[in-house]
Amino acid sequence: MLNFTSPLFFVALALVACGLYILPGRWRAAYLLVLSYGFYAMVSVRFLALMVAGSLLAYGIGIGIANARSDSARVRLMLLGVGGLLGGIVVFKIGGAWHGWLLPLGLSYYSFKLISYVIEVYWDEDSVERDLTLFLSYPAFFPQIISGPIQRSEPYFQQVRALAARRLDSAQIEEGFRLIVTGLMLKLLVGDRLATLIAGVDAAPGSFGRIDLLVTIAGYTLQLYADFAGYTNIALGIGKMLGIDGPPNFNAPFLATNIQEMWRRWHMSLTTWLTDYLFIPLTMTMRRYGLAGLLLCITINMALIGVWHGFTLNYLIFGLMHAVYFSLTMLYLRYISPPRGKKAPPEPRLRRIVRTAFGMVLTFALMSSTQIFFHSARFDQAIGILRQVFGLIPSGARSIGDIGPGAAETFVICALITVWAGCGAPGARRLSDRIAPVAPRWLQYGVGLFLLATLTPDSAGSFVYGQF
Amino acid sequence: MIIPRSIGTILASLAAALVLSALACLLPDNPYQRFQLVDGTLFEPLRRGYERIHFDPAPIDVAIIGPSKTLLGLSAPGIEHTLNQAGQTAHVANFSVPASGRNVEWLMLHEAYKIKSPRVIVVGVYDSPSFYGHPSFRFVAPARDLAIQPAPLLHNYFKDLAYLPARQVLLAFARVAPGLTGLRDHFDPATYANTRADFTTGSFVMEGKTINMALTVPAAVLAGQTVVEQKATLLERLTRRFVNRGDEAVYMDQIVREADAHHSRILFVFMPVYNRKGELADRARLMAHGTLLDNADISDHAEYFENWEHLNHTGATILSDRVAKAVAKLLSEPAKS
Repeated sequence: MLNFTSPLFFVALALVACGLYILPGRWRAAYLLVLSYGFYAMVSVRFLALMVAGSLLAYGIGIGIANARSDSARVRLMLLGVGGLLGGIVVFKIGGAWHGWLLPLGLSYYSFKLISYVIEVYWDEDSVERDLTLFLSYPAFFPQIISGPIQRSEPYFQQVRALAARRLDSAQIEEGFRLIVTGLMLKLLVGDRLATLIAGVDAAPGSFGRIDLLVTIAGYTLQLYADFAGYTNIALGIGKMLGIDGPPNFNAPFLATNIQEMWRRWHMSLTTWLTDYLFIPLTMTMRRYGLAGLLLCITINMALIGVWHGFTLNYLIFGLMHAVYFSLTMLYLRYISPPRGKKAPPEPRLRRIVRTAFGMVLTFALMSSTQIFFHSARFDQAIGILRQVFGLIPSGARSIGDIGPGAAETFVICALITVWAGCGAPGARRLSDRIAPVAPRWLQYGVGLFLLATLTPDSAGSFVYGQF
Repeated sequence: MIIPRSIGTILASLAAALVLSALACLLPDNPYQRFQLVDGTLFEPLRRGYERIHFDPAPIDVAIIGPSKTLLGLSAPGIEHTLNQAGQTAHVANFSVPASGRNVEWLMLHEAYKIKSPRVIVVGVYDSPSFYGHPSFRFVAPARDLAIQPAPLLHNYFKDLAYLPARQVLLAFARVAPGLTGLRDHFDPATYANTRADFTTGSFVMEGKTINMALTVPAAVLAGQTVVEQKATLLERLTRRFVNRGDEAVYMDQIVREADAHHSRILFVFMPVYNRKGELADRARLMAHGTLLDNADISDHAEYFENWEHLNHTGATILSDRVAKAVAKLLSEPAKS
């Protein structure tokens, strides 16, 4: 398969992007479909057949719902579609966790797209898409197939229809290029380097000191962000080059001052998907149970986010830890918020700054604590790390610097870059604009490409979220 | 044709990256640090070879170059001992390195001639020479030798060249902050002394595999290991013709030229593999440039092999003895004019 980080992929991308704009408008949707299926077929023709089957099921169900004469028929069709698509995910996730099955590439992502489509059509029959070519290209759209973002159907269909009449958009191409270069830098120069150092600690965590272990745990969060946000930038950049804007997945998550806010800024396309299609319907159903119902909904939602990554105990604990943190945050915010109708007294500036800073650090620490379970392959590994962190078993004397020459310095530099990128994704653009008079954009990108050429580790790691 | 602004920006940024990469290739480096880039890898003997040339005051009268076959099959101390017994004092250095590729063999020879004056060059030759350059060449070769190679379109040229900017940036940084890169800027006698120089005895780990030179392997096991050489496809044959018959021929010419320029004699040593009656490649050409020591008879003796393509201690002792006798003869001849 062509990897999103390989130079060959970008040569191919330049060619296919040229092809798209050379083709007559009416062929462009079909072109995207052929490209996407071709890309997927390079991974597995068998799994491509599975995606086509799921897509045809959703297509048929959508038309069935739009044509149904009774509400009960519409409900039955919707449940059949959602159940069938969810069933596929569940079967493969269970098979993967318990029997070591190979998970079809992007199964969760394209299934979630199709489920959202079925539900949208159920809610609004006008959302139905009857153009089969256009429809099939939606779940298969190759920039989003590996790890999302999970784009909703309507914005996608509108953009592909508009693509037919679209000319080469200079600003969009440049923005796509910028996203790809920054995404590659985040993934290859930061994420993969952090991953190498973390792997050095993972090889024998017991031999490292407690402080180094705590730093490494913080590194789990930073590495995940650099990897996933880097991938997302690349995916969005490729989409832009092909004339399709995807939804954002991150919005400065390290600026979040509590876990609730963090989830509004992290993996946004998944959290908004779950909010729209699970959390809100669930809370509507459970509202008669008051606070207990709400807490139950939060727990179900977070547990599902956990097991969506895989049917393992560690992922379930990851989700449940978030449920606890989320619920406690919600209760605390309710407790400190003024009674209805009353305005909160103005907060002194210094106190606000301290509270915000404390909130950001605490949120990051809580997020990192859940990453112990997310990152560890087995439950006993995670428990072992926790026991060591809390001093229940003796720690070793090694430090991160012992992994290799310059390891500690590399870790600190990568961590700072990740925090900077994670705090200022929108700000990064402003910085680019601000220095443009001194260093024109072509020079900025050129330096970025040069850094990629010279500092990329010998072997690029696979994307963390590609496995989900 | 009007190029859209964004395409212009992209092309300009690619050009900027290219210019910066070209400038990076010009960054100065410390050759000793360059040779340390292979530390901890299969190619570590290269670093030791560099230290033998530049930091070990002992002269080099006989230099051995070749791949793992000559590394495991020829004992420099053994040859020295035999020569001494024959009344000839000569210092022998084995610069062989695992994996095939004549370019790095030429490089070691070139490096040796900078400081020492080897009178005889022992070159391992085979029935199926490698068509490609050595995988370590990009790490240890000077930037100039990577950028300007002796023939166009050598196999690893673009791959090696693509690595050059990254390497030069690292090496330039290593000159300023050697501690942060783990690349020493000074010679460490202890490290030199602790690096294995003779691979024909004892046991050691190479590429994660323990090699026991004292081992005698049953013939049936060796026969099971033997890899039958695949016949080259038409495309491969055409490509070889197109690219000067590959790096082997190009750099063998370089080796011969280098030896001739320094009036050294060349001893080509045929290193057979177990039970394969392959004909030595380019026999006539080799004989025109030096003396050929044909060891095809060894191929039949299972008791001489550690595995199907490498000799064990017994085999290495026999071969080293043969090489010593041939070298003694060459050393006793008047210097080449």
